[in-house]
Amino acid sequence: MALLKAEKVVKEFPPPTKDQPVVQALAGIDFEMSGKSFVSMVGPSGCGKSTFLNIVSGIETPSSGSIEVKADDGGRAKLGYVFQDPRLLPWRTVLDNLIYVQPKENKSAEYVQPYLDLVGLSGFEKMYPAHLSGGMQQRVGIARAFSVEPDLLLMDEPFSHLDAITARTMREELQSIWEQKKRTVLFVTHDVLEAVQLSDRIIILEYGGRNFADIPVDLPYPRLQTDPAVATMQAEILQVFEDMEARRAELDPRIAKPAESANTA
Amino acid sequence: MSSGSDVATAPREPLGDKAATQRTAAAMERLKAIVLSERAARWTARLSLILIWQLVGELSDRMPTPVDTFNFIIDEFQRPFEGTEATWWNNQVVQNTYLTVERTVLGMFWVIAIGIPLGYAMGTYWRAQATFTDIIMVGLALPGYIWALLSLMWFGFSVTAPVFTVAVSATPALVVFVMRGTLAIPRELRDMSHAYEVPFLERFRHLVLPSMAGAVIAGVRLAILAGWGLVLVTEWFGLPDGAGQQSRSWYDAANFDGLMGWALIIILIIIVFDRGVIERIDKRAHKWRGNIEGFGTKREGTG
Repeated sequence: MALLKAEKVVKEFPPPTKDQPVVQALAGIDFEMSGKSFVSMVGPSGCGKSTFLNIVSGIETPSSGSIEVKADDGGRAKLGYVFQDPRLLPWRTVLDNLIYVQPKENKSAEYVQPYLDLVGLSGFEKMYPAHLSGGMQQRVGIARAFSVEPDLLLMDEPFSHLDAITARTMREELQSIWEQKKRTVLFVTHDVLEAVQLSDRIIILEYGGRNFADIPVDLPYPRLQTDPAVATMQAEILQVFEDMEARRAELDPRIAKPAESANTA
Repeated sequence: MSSGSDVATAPREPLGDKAATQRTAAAMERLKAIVLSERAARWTARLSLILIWQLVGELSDRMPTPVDTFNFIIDEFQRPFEGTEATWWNNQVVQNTYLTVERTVLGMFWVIAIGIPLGYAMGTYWRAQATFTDIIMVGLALPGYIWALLSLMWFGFSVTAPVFTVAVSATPALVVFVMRGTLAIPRELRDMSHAYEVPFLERFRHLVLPSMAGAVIAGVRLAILAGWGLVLVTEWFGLPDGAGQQSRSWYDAANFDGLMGWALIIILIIIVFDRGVIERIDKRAHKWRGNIEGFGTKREGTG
């Protein structure tokens, strides 16, 4: 398990052309999570969720602010990352894809095999990714993430490209695996229902990459999307989104822009 | 016998004829599959070339026929390279082609040793690209035969001349291929490797090299073809031996059989190497593509 602490994280990207302002993906995110927790980060498209995940993983660096990721023992945390697309090495077998990310002492078929069993892919070890369906490839991605025994597991809309039935199955499997493995999980999604089903806490980001709300989800596991309590919670959160949109309309983006430009100058 | 109500029905065949018809149909299907196969297409092309060559040879007194060329090559195998007695090793064909191959291999060693690291550096670091781009352009722009003449002037009639020619002429092309291959390494796989903190050597072995394999193999293939030709040109212009020199001496003697014979030997060597070595490496490097449609694999029924 891990501690993740973000303080006033800002991320700006260079403008597409010289006469345009910088693109501000995150405008000062404050966030903390630790222990066995499953936190979903939800928000409209373009609010900076994936950017935040990339900063946590080290793929991107923040323009300002700080990110601290530590293991429970205070040492460097190991990360696992499930991307939106599987990102498997197409020229390596399923087994070799898991072995690729292992430290030296764990680079063996015997070590990674149980993780393939965990996601129901026994028997597919020697196959190449091109021979697998999208859902199966994503399972390999999940197995890969768990196989490094991460202190912090990052998941970026991992089921968004799957059909509804496969996605439902994968969510239930993920719940089961999380219960077994007891990880710290940061899960990005734009699907409120998915967030309510999986998480014990939901962070809502608004346009411009700012914190908007932090909502605990105190429902018993396992949860199904058809549970009435889940549906009720979903409705509450959707109301929060409506409040956010209303506030955004009040602020009128055209008037807000000069203030944002001053902040980024 | 048909009944009065079956006026439109054809008379029934006896049972034995039906089986024969089925066997004939099956044989026709097999024949069709063979005739329309990839192998049939290749052999049709090869035999057509030989037939056209034979026809031109019959019609022209400046073009030897395939039979004349083949006879010449046999004679060359029986002509000793040194001394008076020809053996399987000591003959004109084996010795001269061995020398040409040796020079090409030595030149290609430098091409690969310089071309791949430099191409990778130029594809990875903007400073390397800025530094070497113009130099590579000069290398690409100067024709190979100019390099051959310059190297003979500088190094004389030694093995250095053809090796140098290959190195300076073929390296730029390989650099360009490798650089393009490096730039094409999928960004998302690099990010994934970064997120999982995969060490550099592991990344190079499992991500960079396989990703670049297609470009590297294509570049090496082109470099070998170019290098082989450049060694022949260098030998033609100024060396005392080798396949290029042999071609030149028969040309000087206005012996068309000789010139054609050596041209055929030169072509066959490169084809054997390309099919026997390069193509196998290419297939192995891309075996992960398997029988997925869209990757240029054979369709069913085409042989």
